[in-house]
Amino acid sequence: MKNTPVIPSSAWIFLIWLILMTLLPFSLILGMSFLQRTDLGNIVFAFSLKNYQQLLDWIYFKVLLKTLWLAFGATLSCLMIGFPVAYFLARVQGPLKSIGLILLFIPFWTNFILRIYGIVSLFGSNGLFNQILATLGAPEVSILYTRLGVYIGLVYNYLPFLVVPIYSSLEKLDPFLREAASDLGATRFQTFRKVILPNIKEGVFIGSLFVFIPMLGEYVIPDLLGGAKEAFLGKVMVEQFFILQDWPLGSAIATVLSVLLLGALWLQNRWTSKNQQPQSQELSHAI
Amino acid sequence: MRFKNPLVTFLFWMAITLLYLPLLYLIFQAFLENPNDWRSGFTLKWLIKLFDSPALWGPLLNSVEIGVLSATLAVSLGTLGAVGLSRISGLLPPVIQTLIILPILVPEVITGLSLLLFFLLCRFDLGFLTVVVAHASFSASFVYFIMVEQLRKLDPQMSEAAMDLGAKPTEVFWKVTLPNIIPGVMGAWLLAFTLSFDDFLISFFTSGAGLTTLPLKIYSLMRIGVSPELNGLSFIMICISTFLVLMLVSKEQSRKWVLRG
Amino acid sequence: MLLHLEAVTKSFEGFQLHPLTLSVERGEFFSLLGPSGCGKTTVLRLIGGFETPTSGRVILNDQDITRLPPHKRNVHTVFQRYALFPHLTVAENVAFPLHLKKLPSAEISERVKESLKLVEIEDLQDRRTHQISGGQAQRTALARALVAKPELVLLDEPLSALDPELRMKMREELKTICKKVGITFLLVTHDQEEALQLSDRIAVFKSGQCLQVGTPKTIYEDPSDTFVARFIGAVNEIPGDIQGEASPETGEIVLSSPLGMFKLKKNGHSLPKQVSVILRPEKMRLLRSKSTTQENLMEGEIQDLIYLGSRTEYAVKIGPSTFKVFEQELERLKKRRLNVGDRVFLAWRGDDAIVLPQST
Repeated sequence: MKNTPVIPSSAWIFLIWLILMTLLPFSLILGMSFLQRTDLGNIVFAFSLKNYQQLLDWIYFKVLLKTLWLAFGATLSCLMIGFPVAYFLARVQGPLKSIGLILLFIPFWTNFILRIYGIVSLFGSNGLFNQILATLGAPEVSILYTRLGVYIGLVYNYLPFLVVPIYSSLEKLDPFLREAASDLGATRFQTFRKVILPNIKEGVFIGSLFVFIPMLGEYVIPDLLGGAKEAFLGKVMVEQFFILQDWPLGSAIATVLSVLLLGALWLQNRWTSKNQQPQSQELSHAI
Repeated sequence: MRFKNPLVTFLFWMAITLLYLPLLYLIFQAFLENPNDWRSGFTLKWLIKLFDSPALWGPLLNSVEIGVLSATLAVSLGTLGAVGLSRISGLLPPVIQTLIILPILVPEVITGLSLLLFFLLCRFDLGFLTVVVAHASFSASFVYFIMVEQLRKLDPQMSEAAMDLGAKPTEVFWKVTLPNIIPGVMGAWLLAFTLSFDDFLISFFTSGAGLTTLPLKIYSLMRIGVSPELNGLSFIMICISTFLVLMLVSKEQSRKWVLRG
Repeated sequence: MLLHLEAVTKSFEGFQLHPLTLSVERGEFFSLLGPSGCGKTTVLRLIGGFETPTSGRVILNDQDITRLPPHKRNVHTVFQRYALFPHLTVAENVAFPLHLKKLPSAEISERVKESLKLVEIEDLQDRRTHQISGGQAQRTALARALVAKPELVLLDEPLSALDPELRMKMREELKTICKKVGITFLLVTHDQEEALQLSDRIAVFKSGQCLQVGTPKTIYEDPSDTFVARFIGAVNEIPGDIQGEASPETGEIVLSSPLGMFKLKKNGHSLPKQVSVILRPEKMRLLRSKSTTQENLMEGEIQDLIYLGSRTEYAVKIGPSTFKVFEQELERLKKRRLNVGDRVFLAWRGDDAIVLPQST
């Protein structure tokens, strides 16, 4: 028996497209990250690890730490807000379940820029929040163009992407598990802590990684809500390409983010192959 | 068993309210006499003014054209891939799986940057075509997963039955497989169109200087500052997006109905 | 001879089909019978063209079709779950193979009508496949397989998805339809009753091997092997040794077993010393007292009885083993009432016993 399956020609068209339009561009980024540039911004074809070393320079390292910290906080907040949402959706039955899922997703099918604009309208200096403060006679609070603005933007935009994996982990749990636990004398809280949590913790962790890592690369949110002073990894990365003309350094940042993501994907595959749930299924659920 | 946990229920509706607050306020704002004053009374003038601003019609047309072309491209590619790869029995090699999931998984910033780099190195002129291709490059994978799900629901014996009754492999596809996945194909097209229509970041990187899509237009208006025109546009965009989602959902729902019989 | 398999083998992970040579005559109803995983479905798929044999040849109508793809074989299949096309109506499903042959539409509708009539679902022709019942889907699948008048129709456990009552009914109708159309059928089934009722000949399979081919009567009354005997119908077994040679005038041989000495008839098979004697439950009788017949007798105690109306099934304990005995509720037995715990004698005739080599 042959071990490698024969791939039909129709599938090759798709695969070649992916290789050409996804793999090749990513390889370019990867390759670029090992090149150097002159002070004029020209690319020099000489292999070096300089760009990666440069990331450890204090100015970039400080940005990295700040970004990690902010993204970590935002992920944690998404978890805290998202967990009850996922739990509700997983446990509720009947039409309310589909209505809830649709309600969760409609905002995220509306345009991303508009969502951010919505936040600006609420929290900007002329926004609803400050208008209400003004009528109450309170002084204006600047939320936008600060770290808090970025934080709100991150939580708002990434929330559903964390709800989905938690929801699908909870859905996969045998509904009789809870009944069995309470039958054996566990209280509601004990059931949750000793039976449900241990069974979904991997799914929740992976879900958090898939929210956390893309947050690091976020460009539009810090750009529009963070203001000029707020340094953020994704923004720094894009600026390397468009403003500072340092493509190799920008590529190095992109490469690091991609490698982190692939690591998370690998971890997920390792864990799910144990629980035999193909990721494609989960994804199409998410869609 | 009905779910009764007042705390969880409350937190759920709380979160939903927070999610909708910005969008609802945008809609509200579109009708305000003075968008910067929430008690200023209602008017339709901003919406009417919107129809008089030709600067918006160009971007809208671009967005629609790009959406139609890229969705068609993505659906052809993704469906071909799904039909082809579904013939392979057992699990796909992890390399192929990763390749397919990559465009979905990788943050748009990186996809956009890498495509930009690719187009520049290939000396393609940035513009309409590069945006179409870039949009299709990530939506094709979404289409693939939808179609795989569709094909998985089909009885695998069905194509065997068709062959058994004398259908050549191509006839099996056109006469049996395709008619049965057509609802999925339409849903996938709608999704790909929505993804393209709503996309900002990848268009931002791959459109070059000359081309403006609707999200790009909104972005540039936003950078200038809050404008009443922008509010009207937001309202229209929210309506379109919601309409597209509801269509997608109702497709999904009607498909379920058909399958249940 | 319509279909001939010539030393066909197939191996894939965890399974091996032993070299199989088999012939099916034109117009015959032939069954492949065996438990699941025995390879019968693999044989069907080899004939249908969904698998290619590892070695050997498949010959249909004197033409070697071993490597021919399914769509070029004049063989149609009724699939286990019917595999009707959900985007087509019942009539369109049936017309499918005719459309592929590009027949004129008048002829197509003529033949579709004929086929639907044959399976008695003319009134369902415009229904969608999800609007019909399991039995109706079954008929549609049958009509679809028959409509193009293939040389051979393969039936892959066609009745297994139906509920028991409907299965009985469909079995009879299937038989009538098959007789009417005069096409050759090859049935795959694990249900021995189904095979016995429908088939002209049966091939019994066990773990990739064909153990016996024969008419239902041969398979039941003269199984070649203890597995075949056990698989088809209920059995009682007495292991033992054959003592000496058969007596030249009566052909009798003597069996010595833990349950006693018994007289048997030698029946053609050349037998080793150690044998298994197979007794069908309906070929034994229960006696209140020891009679002086020529039959073999065994004394035991009734352990259990199940009254089934037309017959009663007894479990009789004799020494360490339990024997099943089925007795018809005959008039002459009415007076005799047997209860659990009664001492009885089991009587059986030497030539009703099937003597087979002991299986390992």
